[in-house]
Amino acid sequence: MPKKEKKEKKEKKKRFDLKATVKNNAYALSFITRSAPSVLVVTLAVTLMSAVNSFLSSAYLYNYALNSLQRGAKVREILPMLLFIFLFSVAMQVIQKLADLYCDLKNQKITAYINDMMYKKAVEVELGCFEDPKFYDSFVVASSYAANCAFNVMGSLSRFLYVIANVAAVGTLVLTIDPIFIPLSCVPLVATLLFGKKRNNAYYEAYMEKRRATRKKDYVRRTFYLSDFSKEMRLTRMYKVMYGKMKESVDELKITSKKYGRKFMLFRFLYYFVNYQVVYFGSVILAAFKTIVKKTMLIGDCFVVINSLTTVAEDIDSVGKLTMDLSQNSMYVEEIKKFLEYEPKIPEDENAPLAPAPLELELKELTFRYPNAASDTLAKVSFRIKKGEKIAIVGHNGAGKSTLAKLLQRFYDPDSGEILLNGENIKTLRLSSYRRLFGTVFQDYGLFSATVAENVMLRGNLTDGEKEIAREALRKSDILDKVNSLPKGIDTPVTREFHEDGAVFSGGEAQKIAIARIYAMNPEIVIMDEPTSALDPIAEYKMYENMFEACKDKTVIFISHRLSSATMADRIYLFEEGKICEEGSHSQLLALGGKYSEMWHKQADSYLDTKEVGEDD
Amino acid sequence: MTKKKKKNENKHPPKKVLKNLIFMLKFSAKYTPKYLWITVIDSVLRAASTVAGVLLTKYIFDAIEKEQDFLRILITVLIVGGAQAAIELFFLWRYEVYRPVAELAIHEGMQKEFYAKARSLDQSCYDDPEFYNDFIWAIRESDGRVGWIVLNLNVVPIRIISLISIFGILAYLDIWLALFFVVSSGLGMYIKFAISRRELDKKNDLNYYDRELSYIHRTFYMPDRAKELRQGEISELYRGELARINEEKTECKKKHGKRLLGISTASAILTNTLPNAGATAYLIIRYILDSGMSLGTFSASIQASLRLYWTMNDLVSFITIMNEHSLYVEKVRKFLEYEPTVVGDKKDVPSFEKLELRGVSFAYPFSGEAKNILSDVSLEINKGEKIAFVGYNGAGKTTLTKLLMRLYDPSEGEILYNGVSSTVYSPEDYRQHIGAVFQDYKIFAATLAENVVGGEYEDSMEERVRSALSAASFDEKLGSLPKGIHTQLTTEFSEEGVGLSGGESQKVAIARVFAGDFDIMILDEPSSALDPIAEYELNQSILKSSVDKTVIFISHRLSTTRMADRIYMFDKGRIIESGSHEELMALDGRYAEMYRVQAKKYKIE
Repeated sequence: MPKKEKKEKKEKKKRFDLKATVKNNAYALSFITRSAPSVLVVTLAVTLMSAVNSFLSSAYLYNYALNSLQRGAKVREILPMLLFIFLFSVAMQVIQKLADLYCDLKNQKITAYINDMMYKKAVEVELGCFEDPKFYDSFVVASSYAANCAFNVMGSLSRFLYVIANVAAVGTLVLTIDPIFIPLSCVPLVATLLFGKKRNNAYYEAYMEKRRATRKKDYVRRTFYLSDFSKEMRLTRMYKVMYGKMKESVDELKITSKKYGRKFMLFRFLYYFVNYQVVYFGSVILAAFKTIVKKTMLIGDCFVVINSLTTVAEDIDSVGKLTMDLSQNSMYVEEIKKFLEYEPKIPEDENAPLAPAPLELELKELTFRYPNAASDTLAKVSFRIKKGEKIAIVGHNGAGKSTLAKLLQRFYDPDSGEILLNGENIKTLRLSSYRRLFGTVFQDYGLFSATVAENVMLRGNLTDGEKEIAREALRKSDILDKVNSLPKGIDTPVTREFHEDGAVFSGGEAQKIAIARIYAMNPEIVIMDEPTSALDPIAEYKMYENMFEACKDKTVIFISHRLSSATMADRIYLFEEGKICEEGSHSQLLALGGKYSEMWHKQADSYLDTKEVGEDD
Repeated sequence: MTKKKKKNENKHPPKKVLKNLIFMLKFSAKYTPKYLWITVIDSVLRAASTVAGVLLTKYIFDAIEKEQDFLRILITVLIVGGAQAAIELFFLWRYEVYRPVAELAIHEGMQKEFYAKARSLDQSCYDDPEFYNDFIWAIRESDGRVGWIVLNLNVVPIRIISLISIFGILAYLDIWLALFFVVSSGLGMYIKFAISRRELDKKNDLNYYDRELSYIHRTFYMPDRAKELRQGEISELYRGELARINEEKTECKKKHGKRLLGISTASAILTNTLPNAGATAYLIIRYILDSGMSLGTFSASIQASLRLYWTMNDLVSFITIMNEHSLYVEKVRKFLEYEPTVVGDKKDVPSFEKLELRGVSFAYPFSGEAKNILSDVSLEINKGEKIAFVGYNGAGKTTLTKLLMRLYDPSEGEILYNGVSSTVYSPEDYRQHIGAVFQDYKIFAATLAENVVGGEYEDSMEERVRSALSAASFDEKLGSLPKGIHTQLTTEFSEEGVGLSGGESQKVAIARVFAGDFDIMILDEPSSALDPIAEYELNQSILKSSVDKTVIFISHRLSTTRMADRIYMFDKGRIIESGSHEELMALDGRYAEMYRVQAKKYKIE
């Protein structure tokens, strides 16, 4: 459904809108003027010079030489001019190369500027944006095309300048010879205006039609080369299904190719015919007619006209193509703008008061639904956590546990209800200071390509004191020995992304490093989202022991679908379908004999020696 | 050190380039034999068209100068123009109509060969980062690259034929100019060749920075790291890195830019200014001095020299591209010529009676550490037994199952299937007797039924699919799917596709093993994504549906495995204890300790 919408939107946008095109392209150009304006100046200046050079070394040169010749001039007389033009050409090459180098270096600065802006924004926007496919689309476009868009505008602008300069110079020359040739040079432009849109539409349609089949083909390819699929590809006959899909997509592509191939052939032939044959042969015939039959044209002029008219026609026509390019560029810029100008819904307010040390966290009737979801993920959840309490949140997959953790840290704001910190709505507090109260191990934690210590501290340029903290944290999470055994200890880079000697950790080891982050941060509130999934039982046991020892006076919230760890909690909340369905301590809940008790017995049964599995049947 | 090595890898000597390109041509000829001939015809026609164009120019100006009959000029122009238009139309037909379909045919044939090869690769190839990178590149690039290579290869004869004919004309018009062109462009070509090598160096050096930049890009752009970036100050660290890498990249560009500046300017003057402004100036002087030179000769010479210059430049630019193509083809060949090591000839694999491991040791070939993952493992599994492999993470349990499936063969020792070494059987046929659910199972973008069958679905399989799904306790979800077992899974290419949750996907993966009706079933942590109740139900269901089957359970949760007939406790790649749950508890060793740690939390006080 959203895809269809997008397609329609794109189709609408395809229509040319001059105002938007100018505005968007100016916006993209501002990336350059803000980061390295000299590049624009240099590019335009060099373009102008090269237009002059091109005029001098062709049309003007012919005109000058043949005119001189008709005057009966000697080689000696025209030699200085020839030499000048030649040297100017040589100089132009040198200037061009110098300018290229200069721009190449400066472009790096522009790209860095744009990327930095993009990354800053990516961290600023709320997490929900990453889940909104439309927003994420603009983000993807923005992050991959922003620099290109800026350079495209500059390129088009400089091409435009070139065309104007060249057409003005050669056009004036042709005009002085015979104005009748000017309309002839405009024929391609007229053709572009008449057929250009049709042609572009055909290309666009072909692209859209091929895209679906191409996606299928790409998927099939991935299943064969990604190691994720490698085992299934060897162990099952799924490959036959994939072969079938490839055949389908190739057949579809063949049909589309045939269908549009003929169209493209005709369009291109039309272009060839108009741009080359009509203009060139037209000028030949017209010039021959004027020279031989009418005798109103000098043979030298005839030569100049025939040799320069095709260039002028091509130049004029390229203006039409430029507007097409710019309007397409504008489409991308639109997406980039949408991303960069997005107002974060959960903003950092510099004037808001700092979050106080938490004494109590209260959730009041918290309701939350993911965009486009059919039902509420959390529905009217209320509870209160006091400083130092150990809270367990348990429930089935999809009961809303992890979502709750995200709301607690204000990655999302609730649709209704509120979260109060010491009685104060958290929305009134400064976001960064509020988030700093929490230390979280996420289910989908990840390690960065940075040193082990940086991964623990989540910051760079560490002092010796900070490294000591990192070491202590690693010790507490029971991974320091392993880290010390690495060649550079805690300064060893993680992942082999850039470092051939980078450390690669197993799932369990990586999880311990993620847990060390909490010890290093020493936060007021600890959230553990399924922190032990990659740990073996002994390691899990140790982890909890250490954690409770280290966080005696801290608030700890841990989320799990295994109940064994919940027994240690002061209070357990059992979630079902976004609601709290039971709450209390482990013994209270067992005594209650409800869902928790049922779940717990099922898990515990298999550990009880008195019962054999299978007896229940 | 490593950088230097890479540098050499990125340049191929001309002989190798030629060899690789011929390889590719053969490939293309295999799937579209006519393509090459059509291109050759096209080349000749295009060259003829160019020659006709130059001669026409000479004719026109000579005719105007001599004030010939206008009508005759008109007719000549129309005839040549018409012929040129016809040739252009043929070219456009080849390019726009014939080529895309031909390319698809090559593509299809090539992908088939690639995929068949990919499937026959040893699993260990995926562990070899170098091979794997090349392999990914070879396959992923094949889409655009193959068409591109074939297109380029076809352009070369066109250019060469045009080059020769234009040169012929120019020699006829002005031998000195033609000779001048040979010298200047020969020199220019030589310089360009040197430049293209230096540019490869530059690309190589920049590659390092680009990789770092793309990592940073991914870090900010993928949703995976979004939460962590909002938590600490790691985003500042990466923005700092971005600035640093960009500065270093700029320095690197500067270094190379300076090295390239002089030589590339020289080459531009030689291959651009001289043939353009230089040749024109020369022709003007000659025209003035040589009264025998007609305006037609003059203008045809200019046109011919411009064409020659353009064609040559285009041809030179192929040098760099061809080297790149050759690098690609090299990787394709390396991949296609790879000889798998996990092989076997015997196709008839008898039904399972007994599996025996004798002193099996194994180390991953590319792990960088020589450490054995499995050391001297011996065990026996008989038909109908329920076996459990337990132990801590990294004890070698999963690796052992990969050996049982023959995704790898042991480094030492042997696996006997019904008393015969498993290596005599073809892996493909051998694997039909063993089904496995791995921790990292995958769901395919195909229908539910196809996913369960693990292959093409036929109507006769319906009962099998349904009972397999039911055995994997997927019934409830199945009821909610509008198209039942014919529901398309994943939203990969169908908007109506259904995305399953982790737990649901795992059930489908388990159903796949049930549907396969294998002699042996291996379940590697099958309940990791399931909640307690679902896990419990699943365990019951598996036991019920596999009464007479051989089942191997793998888990670090001992509750799942205690009902096994025999439990093997692994530690650091060795079997340290084995026996039934009761025996192991009585032994009071490591197993008992591990069990108690887990059970403790479930004790009712």
